[in-house]
Amino acid sequence: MDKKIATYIFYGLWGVVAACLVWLFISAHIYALLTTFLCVAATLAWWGAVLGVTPRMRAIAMGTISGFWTVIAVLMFFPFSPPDAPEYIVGEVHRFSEMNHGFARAMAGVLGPKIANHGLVYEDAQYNYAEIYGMKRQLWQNSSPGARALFGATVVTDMLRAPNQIANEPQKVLPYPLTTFEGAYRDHKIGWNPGDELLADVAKKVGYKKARYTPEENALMVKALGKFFGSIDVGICRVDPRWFFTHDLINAGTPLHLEEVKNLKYGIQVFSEQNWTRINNDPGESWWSITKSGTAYSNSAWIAVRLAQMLRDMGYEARVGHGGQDYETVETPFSVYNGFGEFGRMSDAVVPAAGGARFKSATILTNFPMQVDAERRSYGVTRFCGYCDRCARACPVNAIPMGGRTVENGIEMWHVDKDRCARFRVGNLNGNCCNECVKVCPYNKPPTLFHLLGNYVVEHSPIAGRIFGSVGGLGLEDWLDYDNGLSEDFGVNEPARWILEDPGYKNTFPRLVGQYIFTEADRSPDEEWATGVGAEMGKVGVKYQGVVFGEIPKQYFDANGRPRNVHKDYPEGEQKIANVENLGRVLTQEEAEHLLKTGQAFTGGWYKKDEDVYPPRSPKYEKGRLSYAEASKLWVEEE
Amino acid sequence: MFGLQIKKGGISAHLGWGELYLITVTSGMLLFGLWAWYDGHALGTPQAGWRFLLLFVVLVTPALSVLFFWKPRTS
Ligand code: SF4
Ligand code: SF4
Repeated sequence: MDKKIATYIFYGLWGVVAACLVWLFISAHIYALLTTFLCVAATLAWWGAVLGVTPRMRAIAMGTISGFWTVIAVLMFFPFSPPDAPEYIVGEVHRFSEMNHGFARAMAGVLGPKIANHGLVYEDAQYNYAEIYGMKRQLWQNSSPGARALFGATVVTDMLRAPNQIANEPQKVLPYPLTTFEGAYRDHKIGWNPGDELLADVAKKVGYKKARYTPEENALMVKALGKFFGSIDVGICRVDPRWFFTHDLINAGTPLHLEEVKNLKYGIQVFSEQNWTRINNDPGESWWSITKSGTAYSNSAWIAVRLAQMLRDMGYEARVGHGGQDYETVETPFSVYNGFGEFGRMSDAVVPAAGGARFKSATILTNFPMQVDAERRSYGVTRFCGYCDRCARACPVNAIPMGGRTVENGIEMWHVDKDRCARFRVGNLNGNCCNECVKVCPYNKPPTLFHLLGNYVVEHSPIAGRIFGSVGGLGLEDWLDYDNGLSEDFGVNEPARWILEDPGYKNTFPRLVGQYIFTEADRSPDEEWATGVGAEMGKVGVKYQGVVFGEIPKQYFDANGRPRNVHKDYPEGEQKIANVENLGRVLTQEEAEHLLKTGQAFTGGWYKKDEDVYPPRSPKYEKGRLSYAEASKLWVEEE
Repeated sequence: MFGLQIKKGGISAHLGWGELYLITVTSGMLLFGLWAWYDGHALGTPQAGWRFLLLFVVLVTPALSVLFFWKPRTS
C-alpha cells in the first residue's frame, strides 16, 4: 500500500480514537469504553503491521500498557482504607410508631379503604382472610398456600416469642413442654449444659475450659449457637432505646414504655437469606415474591425463638422480634450498628455477608451480658449507593429516591416513599408483593470467591464505584446484568398495576383504629396518586435491564379508560371491593383530644410535634442530637 | 539483560522482561475473565459470565496488538 495512504488511514484511526475518548468522557458509558479499547487496538495493529516500529517503540508501548494495567490493578486491589463508617444520625431522632410503617398504614386504612381491604380482589374468600382489629379482612399474605404456610407457621412460632407479656404481647403464649423454666426472673441461672462446657469451636478460641460466663465467652457461645441453629452469621450490639417502637401494631396502638423494656440491653440479630435463584427469577408478577420473603422470615424467626428459648431457660430475659408477625424494635439499625451492614439507597440495611439485600433478620432482645461486636467499620455500601441507582430505576412506582441522601427524623440516608411502596406491595394486581429493588441490587450475589473479591474491591477501591455504578460511572454492573439470569421465561414483565382508590378519594382524620388515633399529620402525601392521578402504571413500554414492560391488556380498564382493580388471576374479583368501608372510626377533634388526654387512646409519629404525641416523648433520648454510641451507653447504664 | 531464552529443536525465542511482564498481565486478565465466565455460569447467570469474559477480551486487545503486530523491522 502507498505509504501516504497508509499514514492517512493511521491518522484517521487516531481521530476515531479521539472521538471515542470524547464519547467516553461525555457519556461515561461502558460501550464507549469498549469501543475505545477496540479502536486503540486497531490503531496499534495498523501502526505495527503497516507503518512499522522500532524496538525502542515496542519497548515503550509494552511498558506503557503494562504500566497502565498495573496502576489500575493497584487502584482496584490495593487495600486502601475504606471510607469511615457513615454517621447517619445528624439531628434529633424520635422513636417510630409501628402503626406508622408502610404495611401498618395500608392495613389500618390510612392509605384508603380499597387498599385496607386489599385481599378482596382475590376470590377465595372462605380461606383467604385474617381477623384484624375485630374485622375479617382478606390479606395479601394469605393469598397463596405457600405464603399461608410460611406466615402461618411464623404466627405459631410467635407464641414462643416471650414467656411474659409486655404491652399485651405476644398473645396466647404456650408453655414450652420440655423446659425447666420457671419464670422470667429465676434466681438460679443454669449454664450451657450440665458440665458447663464451652462448645468446641468456642473453646478453640478461648481455651478448653469450663465456662465462666464472661461477656466474651457468652458472646462467642451465642454466635456459635446461632450459626448452629441456622443463621448465616450472628450480630451482637447494644440496644439504642430509640429503636423501640412507641406503639404496637398487633395490639393496635398499645404504647411501649421504655421503663418496661429497660432490662433489654443487648440485641442479638440472626440472618437468613432469600434464595438467590428464586430472587433472580422472580419478575414480581407471580406469587413467589411473598412466598420467598415468607420463607426467609420464618427461617430467621425459627432460629431466633430457639436461641431465645435457650437464654430464657438459663434464666435471662429474651424477647424475639421477627417478621411475618411482629417486631418490638425497628430492625434495620441493628444490622447497621452491629457492624454487619450499612444503609443503602433502598433505605434498608444492605448486609454484604448475608446476601446483600436478600436477607431477612430476627432479633433477640436480652439482658444476657455479652461482649458486643467490634466497633463498626464501613463496607463502602453507602459510598457505592452514591454511584448506583439500580433499585431506584427498577422500582415500579418510583418510590426509591434518585440523587443524594436527605434528612428525615434526624437521620441522613435515602428515604423511600413508604406509602407508595406499601400500596404497590399490598395491592400488586399482577402478582403478590414486589421484588424489583431487591432483585437488582449488586450486593445480592452468592458469596463465591469471585464475588467476595468484588465486595472487597468495592469496599477498598477508590475507583470501583465509578466502574461498576452508572451514576457518574461506566455502568459495568448494568451491562453485566446479573439479574438477567435464567429468567428468560419470566423476562417480559407486565407493567405494574396496583389497587387504586376511587377517583377523588380523600381520607378523613382523626381516625381511631383500635387504641390508636391517626391524625391529619398522618395523611399520605400520595393520596391523589393513589386514585390514579399521575400514576403511570409503572413503566409501560420501558425496557429496563432486559425486561420489557408491555401494554396493559384492555380487559383491565373500565369504559372510562381507568384501570380496574382486577387481579389477573381473578378477573371477576373487582365488584367485591366496591364501596368497602374503611377501617376505624372517624372522630371529632374534641373526641380525639379527650381520648388522648385521658389515656384512652394514643398516637405517635416521629414527624409530629412533641405536644401531639401520646404518651409523651422521652426527654432523655428524644431531645437533642445523640449519637448511637451515646444513646446505647446511656441505655446500658440505665438502672 | 534479564529475559527468557527458549531453545528447543528448531524453535528459538528470546523474551525480554518487558514482553514477559506484558504477557503476564495479559494472560492474568484473560484468566480473570475466564474465572468470571465460570462464576457467571455457576451462579446461573450465563449472560453475565459471557459479558465479563468479553469485557476482558476487549480490554486486552491493545496489548495483543502490540505483542503480535509490533515486530520491529529496523533497529
Ligand atoms: S421496588 Fe418494590 S419493594 Fe422496592 S421500593 Fe419499589 S415498590 Fe417497594
Ligand atoms: S441497587 Fe445499588 S443503589 Fe440500590 S441499594 Fe443496591 S447498591 Fe445501593
